[in-house]
Amino acid sequence: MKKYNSILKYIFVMIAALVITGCVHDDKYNEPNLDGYQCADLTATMTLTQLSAKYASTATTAFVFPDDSKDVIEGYVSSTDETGNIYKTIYIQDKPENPTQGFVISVDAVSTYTQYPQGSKIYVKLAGLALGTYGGVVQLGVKTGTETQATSVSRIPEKLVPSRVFRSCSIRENIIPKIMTSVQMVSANDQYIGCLIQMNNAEFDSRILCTNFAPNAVTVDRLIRDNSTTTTRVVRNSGYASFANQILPSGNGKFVGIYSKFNSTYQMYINKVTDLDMTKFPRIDGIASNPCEYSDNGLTQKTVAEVKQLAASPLTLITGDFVLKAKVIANDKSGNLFKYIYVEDATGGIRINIDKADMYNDPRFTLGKEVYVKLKNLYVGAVNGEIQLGIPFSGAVGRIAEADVYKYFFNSKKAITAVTATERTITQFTMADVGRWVKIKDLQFIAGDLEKVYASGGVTNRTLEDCSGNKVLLRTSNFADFAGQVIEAGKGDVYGVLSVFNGTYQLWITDILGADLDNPRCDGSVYVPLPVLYKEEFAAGGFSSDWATANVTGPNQFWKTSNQGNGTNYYAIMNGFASGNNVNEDWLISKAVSLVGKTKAAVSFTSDVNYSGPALQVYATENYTGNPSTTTWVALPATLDTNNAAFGDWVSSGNVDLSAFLGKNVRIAFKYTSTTSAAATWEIDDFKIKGQ
Amino acid sequence: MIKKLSLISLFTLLPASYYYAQTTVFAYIKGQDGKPVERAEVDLEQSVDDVTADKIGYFQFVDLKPGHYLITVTKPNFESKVLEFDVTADEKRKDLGVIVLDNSLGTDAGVVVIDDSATDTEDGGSAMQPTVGLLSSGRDAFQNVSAFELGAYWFRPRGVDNRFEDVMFNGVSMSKNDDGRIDFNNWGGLNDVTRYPYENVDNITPSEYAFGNLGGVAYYNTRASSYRKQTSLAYSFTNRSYLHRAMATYSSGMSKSGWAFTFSGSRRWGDNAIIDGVYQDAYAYFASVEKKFSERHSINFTGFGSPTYRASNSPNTQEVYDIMGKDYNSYWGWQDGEKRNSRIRKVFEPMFMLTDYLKIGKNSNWINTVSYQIGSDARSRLDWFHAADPNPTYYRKLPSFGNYTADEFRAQSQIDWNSLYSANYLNNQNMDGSQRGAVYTIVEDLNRDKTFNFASHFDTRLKENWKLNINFNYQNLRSDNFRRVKDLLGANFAYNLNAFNNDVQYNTDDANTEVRVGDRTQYSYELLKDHYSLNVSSEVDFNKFNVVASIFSSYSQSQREGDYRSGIIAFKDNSKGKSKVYDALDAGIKGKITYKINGKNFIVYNGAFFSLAPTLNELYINPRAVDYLTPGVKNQVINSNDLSYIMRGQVLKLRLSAYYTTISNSTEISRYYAAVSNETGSVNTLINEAMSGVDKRYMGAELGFDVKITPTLNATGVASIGEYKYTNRPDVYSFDDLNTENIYRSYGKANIKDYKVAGTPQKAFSLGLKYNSPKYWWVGASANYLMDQYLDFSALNKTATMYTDPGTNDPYAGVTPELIQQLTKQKKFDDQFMLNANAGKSFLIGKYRMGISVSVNNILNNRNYVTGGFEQGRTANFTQVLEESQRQTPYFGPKLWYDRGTTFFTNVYLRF
Repeated sequence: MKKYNSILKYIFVMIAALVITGCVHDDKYNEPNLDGYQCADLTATMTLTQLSAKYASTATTAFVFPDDSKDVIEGYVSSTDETGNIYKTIYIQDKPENPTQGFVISVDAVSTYTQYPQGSKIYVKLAGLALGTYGGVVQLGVKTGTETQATSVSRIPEKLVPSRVFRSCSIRENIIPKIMTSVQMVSANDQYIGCLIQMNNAEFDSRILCTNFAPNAVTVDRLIRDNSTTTTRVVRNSGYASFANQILPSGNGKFVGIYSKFNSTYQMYINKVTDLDMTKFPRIDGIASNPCEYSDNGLTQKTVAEVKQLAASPLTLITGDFVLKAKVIANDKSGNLFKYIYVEDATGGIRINIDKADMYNDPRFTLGKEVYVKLKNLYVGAVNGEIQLGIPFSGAVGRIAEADVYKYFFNSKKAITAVTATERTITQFTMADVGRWVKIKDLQFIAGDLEKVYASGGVTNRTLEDCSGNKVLLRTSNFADFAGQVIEAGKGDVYGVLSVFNGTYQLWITDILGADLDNPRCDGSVYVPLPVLYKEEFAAGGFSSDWATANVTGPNQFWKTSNQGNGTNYYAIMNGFASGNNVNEDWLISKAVSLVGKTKAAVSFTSDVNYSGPALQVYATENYTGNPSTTTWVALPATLDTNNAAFGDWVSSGNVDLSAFLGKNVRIAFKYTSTTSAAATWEIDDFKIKGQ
Repeated sequence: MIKKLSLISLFTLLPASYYYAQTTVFAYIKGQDGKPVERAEVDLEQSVDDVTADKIGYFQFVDLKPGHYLITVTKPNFESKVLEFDVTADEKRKDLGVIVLDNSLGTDAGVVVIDDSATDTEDGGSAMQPTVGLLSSGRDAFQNVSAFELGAYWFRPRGVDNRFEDVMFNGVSMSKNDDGRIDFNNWGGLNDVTRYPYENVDNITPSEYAFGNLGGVAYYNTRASSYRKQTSLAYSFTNRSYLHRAMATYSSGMSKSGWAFTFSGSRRWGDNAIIDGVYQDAYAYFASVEKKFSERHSINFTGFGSPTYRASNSPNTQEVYDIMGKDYNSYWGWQDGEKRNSRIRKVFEPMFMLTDYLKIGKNSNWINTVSYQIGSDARSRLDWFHAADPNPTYYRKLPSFGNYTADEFRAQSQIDWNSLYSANYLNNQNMDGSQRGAVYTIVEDLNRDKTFNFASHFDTRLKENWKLNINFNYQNLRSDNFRRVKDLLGANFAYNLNAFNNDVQYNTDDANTEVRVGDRTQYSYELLKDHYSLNVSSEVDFNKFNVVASIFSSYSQSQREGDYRSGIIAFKDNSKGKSKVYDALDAGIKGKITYKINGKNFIVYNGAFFSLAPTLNELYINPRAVDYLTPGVKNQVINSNDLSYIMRGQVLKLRLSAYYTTISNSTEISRYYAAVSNETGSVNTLINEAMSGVDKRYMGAELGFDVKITPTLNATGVASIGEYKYTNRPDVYSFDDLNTENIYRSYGKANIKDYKVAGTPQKAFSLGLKYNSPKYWWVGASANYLMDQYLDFSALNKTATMYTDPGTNDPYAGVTPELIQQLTKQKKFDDQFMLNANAGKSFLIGKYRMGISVSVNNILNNRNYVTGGFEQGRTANFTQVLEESQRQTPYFGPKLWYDRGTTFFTNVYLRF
């Protein structure tokens, strides 16, 4: 018994000892001593100037250092990528102060400042590296052979960097930026590319005042000037920089950045926004105080409706100290609206004309942002029946000059909120709705517009209809980024700005989601484009053997092809005018296309007419005799261009039904006629016979 | 002896009118060790008068008429026993002698270890949580096996998540208010005092102490006198997440002066378990002091806590496992000669309770508890400002990405602490000498809850066969949540700026953006909640039927109070200060009907229909930044039914059940860090992904049996065949720090109908044999087969957004339904076979009792079993998803945890 007890006690003591002494990580660690960690002090074998000379300005290929090269350069890191404005590049210069040569090292690594902070002395072993150019600037990289140009080099791969670029174990300097003026930025000073420079008395151009360093994810050039010349220089800002969304400093003063150039344009990169000290007024251009500051003091707020009421014919100068606070509901993002925006408040919407590109990138004009508009000295008036804000141009309201934008438009510093649409039906539109962002439910493009693009040639009207047959125009600029997209054939809700042109309501969408028509059409059908059985675009010029021309009357004029006014793209053309109107009857006849086994078929083409004259006629036959005069033709009700005052306004025929020819071989013919009193020019393109 | 009879036994003496010329039958119930077993339930088949044995194991039935009787003695953690006897007219008293209950499998082994280190991650959308079943062996073979054999492989009976289980200490729920889950860490290591729940009901069975939920209720009574008077010492050695465990428990029993004490303490620690770089050091304390004022009135104080410190292990993609092996952990790196883990969890949330026990009248009890819990739960992680992701498994460092070979990856596969310090040292100053903040830091996400509870339980016997329970609970929570700087890694200070969003201030009301060790940074907010609930249940016992009904209603008010005003303009009015109060009302009903075919055969039906208000986690979509509610958040509605056939024979015990559960309107939130690359390096931002209006269906059948092949040889078997799946297409939203314009991003509906619920094998089978020697040793083994385990999915890429071109709102070119189905198919893992064994022996050495046990899981060292995992959440478009799917080793492949292979747990204890 006792024996057991002592064993048990022994076990107990052992356990107790373990509990007390059993030690585990305590989660406390000494900070490592990193003297000599990942650094080296090498001896340079060549200067940056000598390095630069290795790549002659006349070189046609990159200069590659052999793998056994013992060459080493040294330099001081002039840049820092901590804000992300400098990207995958380490800029160096040969001396911390008064440098004589800068250089660009291209590395495939980010956040290099964590290993090579600004001011560090670094050494680069050149073995296997290469010199090449990008944008005319020589840089150090590697030649992989995958570069598109013989003279260019690739970034040094991330894993190669530690074996090529060495931080000095001891030396870190404060780089004193080299002072340069705008007028000194010439090719004679290209050795300073890569150096940290300082521009005194610098100010950002008044056209970009009160905007940001860069829009989100977009790299932009911001213009800067000093008092040495009126020429502006470029400050290139990355949309990924951590300071990108900050407002540019609006005063005059010290600018510090990395000196660089792209081809012939001298440009600078900001390392950190804290390097800039541009707060002094007055500026060189005379602006006396910070123009971006906004205060309600002394201003009377006006609503959109009140502003519209100020308009007298033809236009009215606003003299009161008024401010309009309204939300941007449509801007130029897709290019459909050009140099104007629409703003809206609870009382309505209005168009403001501004002579500025890419306004959507400006934080004042971002979609959904409330913008403050000082109205004094602006004009309000109706342009073709629509009341707009702006500055007079040719006696009507035109665009506000870009250099004056800062005078009128202020950042509300409010959060962006969703643009909400006012729901209307086509029949409910009133003049009070003009300028508003509206939603019209359940619209479809008319059958005649189907398969057409939003816009071609110029600003283009398409027609939307509701299921009761009420129609409204959808107007689209050929500069819209979606202009070349085919309109959707279904039915759906349309979102856009309502405008008016001399009493006719028009809708403007700002992207194709504005007319995302995915539901079945009003009649319940789902429109499926007919497969193309045969198409002819006359693209290369001349008629292929698929086409026959028949000259019945007037032997001197006949169907031809031309690319005049249409780039390299040809089209078919017939013109009965030759130093006077001539009598003509000319046929352009397609080959026979089989509609055997088809249940649906149609023909479509585009037409363009100029000058007055008899209309073109379109026919079909199943039974061409070889002679148009003896053939039995069936006239087709195709939509043709009716504007005979201009070229270039191509009109789509729409799908012209060929169901009478199902199961047969069909030919299509264009019959041109002219008389001595009238001879139009007709052009035909994009010919298609479709069926299934 | 009469004096010692329990109240309930006494009741059976009444009414007096029957008190003549009939027989009293009595017996004592003891355990294998010869000690009395208290509170065993004794069911007399022919009567409604079921009794509960008293403290010394005594029970009796009075007034039995002559005839043949059958009783069933049941007690949690013991195997139930059926006894038949005859009563003849001439017997006044019949002594059935001592009924010995055998310990059920596992209990005495004491090997159950709640080993949840894998759950300590924020990267996981996976619900790797231990089940309550693991806490104690239940009443039947199914529960025992599913907990102790299958539970080791994260099998969850009926697919029920931890969130739907309840653990109560003296009436106080231990579920966390933020996510509704039980944090076992709060009493980890206190196995000695939490071995025997006072009440333990399964699934939706109504409890006497709470309405319960879907996953059963374990109710602990920590009354000092309820613990057996003894001293217990135990030591364990294992290779799981720690190496050693030592436990000591002392219980005084009730003294003559009316005092009882129970103390328990333990430590679990170890530096080198199976997974690399995982270490743990956890203590636990428990003290319970009871003062008995009279036979009718006692007051008990309980205090317990479990300071735990534990390093985590990373989930990895298959590519990484293939290169590094299954023991690889990317969270650590060498520093100071030690493996330093960046992910440390420190939890200490001690609980203090005061319970008043009052007996009212002859047959009523009123138990009131007030409790207060305070403490913190901290999880650390690396953070970086304007730098590249330092994690070794960052996707750009994976061989599949193309920059590094497998060997190069291996060479840098652990955190390079020196390079992090170096970056900070080099950038402590700008070149002009001005001070600069940290590039790399370690931050901690803290949750400091202060929870006050009042729980009141009243029970009474309205009639001999009619019990009534009333439970009232009030809970007040103030949960402080924030991030703080844990280690500056050699830097002077860190910036409290949002590197993901143009360095805007996290708190614009504070001009100081420099933070130092211990300072709050990035987010800081409180969640406040008041919760009231009332539950009434009643049980009526008839000859052939036993009916239990339980109803509840609860009301809660939740609110967020932000400390930081976000620098993101859109959030400035919704980030600081108190939000609107969100109030929620819940109600529900549960019922249980037992039909006693005879004393050995039963048919049991359970039904439950109730609502559950959203947890705080579900309520606020991104509480770190704003007070916006999750769109579409609602009370979920749960409907569950099961039907069982139970057989309790001497040789064969069996339960066969079928269940059908639907959960509708639930909200599922997963929060994870996702890498977003941009030109300043990488952004690793917290994404909050929410699905609302989720409907799920859980159905299946369970079979559990226990056959006594010989008196010493038992065979146990379990078959659980379930199907747990989503049944609708819920709405998906996300919210992250990159958002500036919208409240949240809406993704439309997730096409997850018929996707399976992850987190458990849906089918599992186990067959075990156990030899129980009369000489106090046993040996057992089980073969387990796990089937239909699915990967937890990320909902974002299950929506049409993935294949829809945002420019046209139409599908991208090349999109076909077949291709989408192929790209979004849920990953199903292979079926796995696992072999377990255990053995033990106990000795009686005078007054000392000693036991040794060994259990080994996964003897075949099967390393192919995925215990948890998740699809990496990222918003990718169709082209990217297609590209990724065509890669031989996708670098955004799912992150997985694998089973650790063979693990053992040895335990030796000494009791006296």
